[in-house]
Amino acid sequence: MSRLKRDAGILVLVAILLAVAAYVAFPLAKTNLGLDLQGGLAVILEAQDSAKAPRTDEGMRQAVRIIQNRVNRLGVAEPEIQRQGEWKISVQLPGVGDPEEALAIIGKTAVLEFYDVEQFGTPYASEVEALKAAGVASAAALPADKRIIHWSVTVGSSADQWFLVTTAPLLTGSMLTGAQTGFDQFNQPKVDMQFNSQGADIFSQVTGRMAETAQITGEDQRLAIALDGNVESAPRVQEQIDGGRAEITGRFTTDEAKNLALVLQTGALPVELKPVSQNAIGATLGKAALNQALLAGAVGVLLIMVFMIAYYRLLGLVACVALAIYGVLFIGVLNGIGVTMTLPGIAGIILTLGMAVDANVLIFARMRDEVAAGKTIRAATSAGFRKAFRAVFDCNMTTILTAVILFWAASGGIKGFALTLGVGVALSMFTAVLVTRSMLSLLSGWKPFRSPKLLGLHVPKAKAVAAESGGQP
Amino acid sequence: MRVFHFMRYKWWFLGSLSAVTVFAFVAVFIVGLDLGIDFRGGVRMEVALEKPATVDDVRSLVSSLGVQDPVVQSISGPSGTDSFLITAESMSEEQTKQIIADLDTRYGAKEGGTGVETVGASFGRETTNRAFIAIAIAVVAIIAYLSFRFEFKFAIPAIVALIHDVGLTLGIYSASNRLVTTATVAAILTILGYSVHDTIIVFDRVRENTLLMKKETYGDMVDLSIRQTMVRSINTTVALLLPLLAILIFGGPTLKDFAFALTIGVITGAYSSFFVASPMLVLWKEREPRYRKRLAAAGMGGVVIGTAINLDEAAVASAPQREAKAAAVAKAGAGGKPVSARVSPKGKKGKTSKRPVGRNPKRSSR
Repeated sequence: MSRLKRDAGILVLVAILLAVAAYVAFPLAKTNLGLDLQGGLAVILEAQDSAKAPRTDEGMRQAVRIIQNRVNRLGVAEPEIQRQGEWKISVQLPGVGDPEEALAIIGKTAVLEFYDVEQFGTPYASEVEALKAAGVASAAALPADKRIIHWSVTVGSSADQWFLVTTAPLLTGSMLTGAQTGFDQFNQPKVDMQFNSQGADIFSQVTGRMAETAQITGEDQRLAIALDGNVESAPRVQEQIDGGRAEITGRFTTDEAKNLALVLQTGALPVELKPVSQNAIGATLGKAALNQALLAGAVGVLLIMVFMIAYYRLLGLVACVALAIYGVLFIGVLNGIGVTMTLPGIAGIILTLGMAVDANVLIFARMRDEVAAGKTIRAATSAGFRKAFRAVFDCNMTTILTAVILFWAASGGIKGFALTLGVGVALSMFTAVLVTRSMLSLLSGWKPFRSPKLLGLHVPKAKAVAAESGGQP
Repeated sequence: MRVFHFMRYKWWFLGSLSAVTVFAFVAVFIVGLDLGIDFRGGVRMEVALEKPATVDDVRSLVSSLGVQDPVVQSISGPSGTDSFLITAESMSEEQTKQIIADLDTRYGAKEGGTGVETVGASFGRETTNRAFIAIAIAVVAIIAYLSFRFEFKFAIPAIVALIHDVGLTLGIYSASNRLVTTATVAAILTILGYSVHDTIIVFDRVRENTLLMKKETYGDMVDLSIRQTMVRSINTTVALLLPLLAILIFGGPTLKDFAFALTIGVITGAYSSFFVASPMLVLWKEREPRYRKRLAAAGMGGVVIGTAINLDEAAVASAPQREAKAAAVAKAGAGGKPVSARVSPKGKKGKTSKRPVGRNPKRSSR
């Protein structure tokens, strides 16, 4: 009786789980679809390591955040930006139709640098003039510690300017923690910047020195703020600035100030990123792949069910019910943990459907053995489950092991496959063993479940006769 | 139940399947594997066309734009058979755009039916390395697990059977010039995990029978174990082949590729457990003194399982009388095992037995 109670308890538990899973799983439309199923752009960016801009872990974390900002500006629904391995960032933009534009925004390698402008901050009207001031004939002849940067002024009446600066930037974007627009006391738009502690120290020193020079010489001292080598702004430095806060004032319009703040914010990519792999999938293509996969899955399930019922009759039917329970629970789990479903992921699910009934095949085969050995069906059921469990467990463990390894090693969609395979096999062990067992145990009192023939546990007569006669060929 | 004496021909099976495996590996090394862009870097393009076109049409169009050695395949995409997969090691962005534009003017490209995947060469190399590392770790993990759950001598034959399965899969890929993709690698790793299933099923029985049978030669025990588990091994294989078949018929190009490799692996995995793993286990185990002794005894007319064993059927036929005995055996965790063996007086190789297995007094005491 206690066993009956236990089995009933298990089934009640399963029913509750099933209800929860069904609630989470349906409607299926709310499942997150991967790019390969709904179309979009997937890019993997890799940080480049150079002497000038060595890649750092901190830098990578910042870069992910910055790309997130950039992508949000694109207005993409549910973009996914993730760190992948040590030096890679995976960017997934569902439904992006124009990959080029998106790539241009994400892939823009923006390196923000603050330069101390040489020659008392005098800008030159042309590159030639700047070269002349440096005392060389061409850009190639510049000494290693000097470079010329260009300020293309797009608004206002002022013309383009060139600056001669020291090659090594004073500060880089990685030391910036934020930038916002604001208004100064004359109600002019300005941009406020905040540095981290290291940046604040350097900024204080640099501005102190520049302010001092400005007082002695009486000339403007400028700081050139450059993005990817192009000057975005060249504010005058009038006093030493402590506390890691700086503001850029000038004759900005509000929009210009906003743009500059944005450039400072999002442009502060601390690592140089290069796309190493990209995949653009058309929406129709994704939809077709999804439909094909769903059709294959449905036909697969149908074939498995027909096979199981044809071979194991009522037992097969019970296995099919367990399979259906497994399916709902599995989708519930996947949706519950918010897995993005990809094409390989669906392949994994279809595969686990076949593996889930494997456990039942092994158990039922054992039950046949037991019945053939003269046991009652009830005894055969319990012995069959007990004896088959070890093989079922070992089989599933090897698959789970390889799924874990694959999950670790793979990237992109294949990771989804490893995930569904591993989780599915683990879950199927629960449904195929525990649920089937409880169902059979509760059904064992019912008449059809006492007939070996209906259960598919009978030994065919012809075989028995052959065996009786010695089985000689 | 008729026991097939596979283990008497163990050298034949091992020899011929080793030859097949070696042949497959030679094919892989000589012909080489057609590593796709996932490993070497390159561009893969999928286009769905609205008007009918042939592979040759598409290839000549792509070649005329200066793309070196493009591979064009017809696939079942959104527009039936008029979808094509174009792969090349290098294709510039302008070229891909031009191809799509030209195909559009000539055959009409389906709206949203185009996909372009670009993989950098260094990224591809990394993928290759990771694939190799993953496969190596998987093999070690499986050996470790089987050694832990069974014993080392069970783990190695299981791995050798896996080498046969994977070797044959790769061999078929190489011989048929199929492109190897990351999906193929995922499939091979899955084969590593899955095709050891059938071996586990057989070995699990061997593990059990070893405790029950104290006189039989190892080969006979394995033969019996194979026979006892053959049907379920075939059934589990069929249960997995059915969904794979569905994918092969209805799936898209990525899934098909995946299912193709798995299908080969699953089929080879089924028979290799009988004909590779089992014979190897027997060879190795029969070197152990106790099994060598049994073998020697069998050679001199000791205990052998005959060509026919009607263990289970006999039990059914005379269930009432044997009920008590069967129950006793079951209590000892040995139910469903041979409780009686009818031994053929004329064994296939003339080996005979005087003592039916089931009458072994030691048996009932267990």
